[in-house]
Amino acid sequence: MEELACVRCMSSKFRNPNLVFSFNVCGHTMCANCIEVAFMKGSGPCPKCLLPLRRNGFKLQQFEDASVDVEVETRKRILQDFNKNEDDFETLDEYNDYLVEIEDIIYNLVKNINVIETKERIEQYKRENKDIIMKNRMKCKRDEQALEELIEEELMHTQYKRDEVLRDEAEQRNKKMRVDAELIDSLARSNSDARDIVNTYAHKKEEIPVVKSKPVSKQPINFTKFSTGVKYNQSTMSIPIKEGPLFKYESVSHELNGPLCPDISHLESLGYMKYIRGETTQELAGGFLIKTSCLHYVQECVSALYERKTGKV
Amino acid sequence: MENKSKKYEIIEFLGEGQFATVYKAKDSISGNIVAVKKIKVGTVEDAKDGVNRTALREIKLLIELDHENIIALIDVFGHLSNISLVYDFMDTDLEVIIKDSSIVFTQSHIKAYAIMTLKGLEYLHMNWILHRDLKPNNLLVNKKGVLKIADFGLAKRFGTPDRLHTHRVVTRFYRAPELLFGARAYGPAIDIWAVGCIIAELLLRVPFLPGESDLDQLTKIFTTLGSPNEETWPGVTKLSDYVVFKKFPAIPLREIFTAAPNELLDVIGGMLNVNPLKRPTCSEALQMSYFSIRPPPSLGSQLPIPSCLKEKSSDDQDAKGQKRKFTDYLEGGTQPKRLVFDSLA
Repeated sequence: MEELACVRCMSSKFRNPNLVFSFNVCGHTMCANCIEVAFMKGSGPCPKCLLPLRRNGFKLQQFEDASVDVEVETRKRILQDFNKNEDDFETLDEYNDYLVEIEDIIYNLVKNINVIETKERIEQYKRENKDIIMKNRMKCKRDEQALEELIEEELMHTQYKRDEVLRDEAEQRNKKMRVDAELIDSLARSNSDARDIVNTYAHKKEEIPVVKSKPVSKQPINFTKFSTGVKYNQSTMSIPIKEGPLFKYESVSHELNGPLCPDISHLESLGYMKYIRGETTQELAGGFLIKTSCLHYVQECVSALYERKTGKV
Repeated sequence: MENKSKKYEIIEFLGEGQFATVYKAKDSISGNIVAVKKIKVGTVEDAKDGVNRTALREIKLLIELDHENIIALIDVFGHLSNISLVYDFMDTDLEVIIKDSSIVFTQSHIKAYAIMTLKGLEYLHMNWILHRDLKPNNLLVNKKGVLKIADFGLAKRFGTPDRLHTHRVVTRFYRAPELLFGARAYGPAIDIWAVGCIIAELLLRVPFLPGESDLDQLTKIFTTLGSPNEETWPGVTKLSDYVVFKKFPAIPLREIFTAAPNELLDVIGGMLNVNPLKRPTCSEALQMSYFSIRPPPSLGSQLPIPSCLKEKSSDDQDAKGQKRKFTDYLEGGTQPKRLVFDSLA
């Protein structure tokens, strides 16, 4: 995989993460600045493959690999016509064959294989299935509309909830302010002990009920599906993949076959470091710690001091 | 003693390196498939000590080690003036897997590879050995999905003060900044840096910091991670090959690894800290939250197999089962063929 880079100025995403890349039908990537310069007249050849391009044909690149974007665009275009769904077929097999055909066509178009023949195939399909295409397009539009309505309703619902919470909070704040104002007033006017007054008002303040968010008054819409189109109760797991257990770290320890060796963090407190030189700046900068060496030697000292229980001596 | 070179029947030629040629062979007694590395008779200087130095290092260190994620040295034998080392046979290496564009890595795959690498390395460091040449090419993977650290030609014992090491180690892309600045005393942090680069490479599928020269390597490191100063890396200016760099700001890792979870960015950020003392040790790294949270690491059987291997192994009975299992897994078992666009959530 190549790094994402403009074909004209060669600057890459790695060097300048803020660069905006676009691509055209040929699948070559250019940055916004170069498009500005190279396509001043509105059209011109691609600097890489010389295919004549139009400026308004440039689309913002969503993926690192421009060929993916080209495929996405092609797929969008093809699916406008190839819009049958499962109900239009008698058996699942036929539907599957149909899906495979779509993939074939898209693949051919993207990879430039038999383009003319493939285009003829599309035209033929369009002629044969004119009615169904129109019908499904209408249906699609209706579905989209319904979806948009659903999104709007969801938005309204959340807005409504937010307003409610805000209103409650404001109310509470007002109450508290009122109590405070009363306290100041009585402190100014009353003759009794100031401490008592403060105490009574402190109690009063505490008594202000904390308004709990009321149980959602009523659900303005009945949720049957989310705006993403997923049904409310449908599980999202479609392919069960066997998962292994989660990783749990188990510390490993040296088999020393000797007395217990102190931990590296205890070397200092146990006095092992007392007579050892410190690290030079250079050693520190290189990541060398004298403590490690100390541990190494202590380990060497204690290891293999015990007699082996099994095996040869 | 009978001639050991006859014990192993060579099946095929696998590859050739600077110091050795590697063959796939069969142990005629146990029937196991092994890899035989035949050390080349090098120049006189190479063989000054009687045996090639890299081979000697490898034998010396590997013979004592025994860990699931470290390549096992099964046997060593000499034949005429040659010396051959016998290892577990491994099907492929991580570099091949990373470069195979037909393989898609999931988070679980990356986690599994990272854990296996770190576990092997933890064992090495515990035994006071620096690998000094970690790179995807040296992380071998077999069909069961077990990753093993190999190639101990540059490995060395550490933890002895006043013994200076050379800084001309580690393939450049994976070389830590302190080595590039000429540090002669260093520690296990250099291996951690390499692991950080490897994990980054698993995400990007291209080398993370591909420097064209040593100086360019440093430039790549600092333009990406920010230039060091005495505050972020005390003592850096005292290193023998220190060069002053322009002040580069660090690019947030989030912008480079857009699809990685935050916990993984913590791991990479920690391992690729320019200051070696601030990098975690293997044990500390393995205890970071990334490794214990969901998703769990893939089981060995779920790890990807490069396509070149799948085609080649179709005549092998055992491999056949593996392959079928693999393709089954890809197609979602016996479900009817249908295009499923699984939500990314």
